[in-house]
Amino acid sequence: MTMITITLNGEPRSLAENCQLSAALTEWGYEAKTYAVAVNETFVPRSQYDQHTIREGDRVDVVSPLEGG
Amino acid sequence: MSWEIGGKTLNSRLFIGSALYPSPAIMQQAIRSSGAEVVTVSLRRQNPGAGGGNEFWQLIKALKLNILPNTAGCHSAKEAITTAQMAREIFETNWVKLEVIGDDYNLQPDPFQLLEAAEELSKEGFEVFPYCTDDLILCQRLRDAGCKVLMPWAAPIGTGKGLINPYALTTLRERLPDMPLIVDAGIGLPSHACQAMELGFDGILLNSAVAQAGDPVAMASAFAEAINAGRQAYLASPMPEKNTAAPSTPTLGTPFWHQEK
Repeated sequence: MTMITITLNGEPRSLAENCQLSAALTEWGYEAKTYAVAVNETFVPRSQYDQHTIREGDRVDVVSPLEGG
Repeated sequence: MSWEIGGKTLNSRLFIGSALYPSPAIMQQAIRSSGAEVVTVSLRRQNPGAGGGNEFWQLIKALKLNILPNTAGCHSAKEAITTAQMAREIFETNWVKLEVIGDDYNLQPDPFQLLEAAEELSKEGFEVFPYCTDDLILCQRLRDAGCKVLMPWAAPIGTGKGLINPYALTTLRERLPDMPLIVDAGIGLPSHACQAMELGFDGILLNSAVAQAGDPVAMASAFAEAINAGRQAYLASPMPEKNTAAPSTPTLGTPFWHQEK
């Protein structure tokens, strides 16, 4: 299996080539629905997780609610 | 008396933040004590398996208030736009407190990036609450970009200095008479909030002044009363300021009065 390297929240990660975002999120252990995702600083709506393929070098950010002013 | 903002009807004119409290329980109590109907929250990176803010989010949801997500920490229009889009999905609201920081030392908004982001987000159907400086021209441009409310600072975030430029804030009120204006940032005391309301501002957004008080729950209540007092004073049309004294007790019939020779 060919692996690619991406970053998840700024940390390097290995991932199988041609992995969909939905599969990657499951592999990483994101289960609750209180998160949102951006890839390379572009928002990816939840409805597109199954169609969005992660590419070599992608920067994935997963965020959730936190305190704020 | 109720008022309308961002398509919603509110009774309170205080927007309150959810950060910096001594504990989650005190945060909840203080927010309740403030009477605020709008609470600000943020989005931050969630590490896998960390539970991702779920506990915090459950506490906030239990308050059943309007959520105003911020884009705190963003330094470009692109970052702020993406953060707003993510917030819309998570919080299911088109409200966003738009913050684009231009200087990390005093957390001053970057007016150019802010305007760019405001224009794009307004086109995408967001109700943009821009955290901005008190510059009149910037505020006019934000209005022209589609913002239906403006949130100029009183002083830099977290300083608690109060209204460092009342002239600029007064000018905004006079020149933008129909625009809802909320003072956001720099408030330290209830008297600061009252002063802004006396100038005719429509609301106050604050966080540190309550969260970092010795007793946040009591301070939240003090702010609620000060904001209400300031609003009532504004509606009651304060007397004009004068440079010379004028007696309030009638001078006619003053006892022991006699003509000076």
